[in-house]
Amino acid sequence: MALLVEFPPHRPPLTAVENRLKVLRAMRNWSQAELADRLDVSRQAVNAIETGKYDPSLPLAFKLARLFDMPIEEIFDDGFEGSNHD
Amino acid sequence: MALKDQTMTDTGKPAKRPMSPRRKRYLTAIGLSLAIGGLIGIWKRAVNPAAQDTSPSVSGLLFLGDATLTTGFAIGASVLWAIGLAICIPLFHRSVDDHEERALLWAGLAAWYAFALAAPVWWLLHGASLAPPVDAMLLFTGSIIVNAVVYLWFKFR
Repeated sequence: MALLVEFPPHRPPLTAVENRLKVLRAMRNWSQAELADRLDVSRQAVNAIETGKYDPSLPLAFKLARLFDMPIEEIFDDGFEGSNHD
Repeated sequence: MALKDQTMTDTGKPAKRPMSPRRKRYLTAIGLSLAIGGLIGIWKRAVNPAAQDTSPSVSGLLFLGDATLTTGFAIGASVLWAIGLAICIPLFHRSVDDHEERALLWAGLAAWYAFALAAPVWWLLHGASLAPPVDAMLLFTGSIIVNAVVYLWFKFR
């Protein structure tokens, strides 16, 4: 029954990605609209990223990293703490 | 790099920036679509006396009915719809950001599923005289409604 009412059907993500966008934006006293303007995306896109409802595309993540002058990993965190060489 | 230099030193209220080319294209595509839809609606209302006695919303529903249309309106509206959409659709899709693109993709898929579920069922039921003949415009309207609801949910939730 859940499948009939839930669209898209729930699919657990490989990893839950969190981000510091709201904090970084607040540190610069930018509104969501101002940040959206600087990224040339809609305000809804910024809000969706901040609230974790949407993970940005790689190009947009790079754009954010350049805007905040920090590596992508310092903005987005997938919780992975192991080694890539395990 | 220019973007970084421009923004990292500016922590105050930024000056009002000019509208980006992406946003201009976006608003142009939406405005053009609304103009085409409005024009077809007004034209239909003008050539259909029955529609003039009703409110615009009821007139809109009558538009999807099977009332006889004048040849001039049928050809003109078809050309406006086909050429107008052929111009607006690429303009719009070149302008959406990737958040909206995702909303559009899910909305399009949901609309297709709504159609794929409803159309064969209706056709089968009609084959056994359990339902009236399949109405393509009703299926189209249903798909569009599903599309709009899913799009708005993904875009504004």
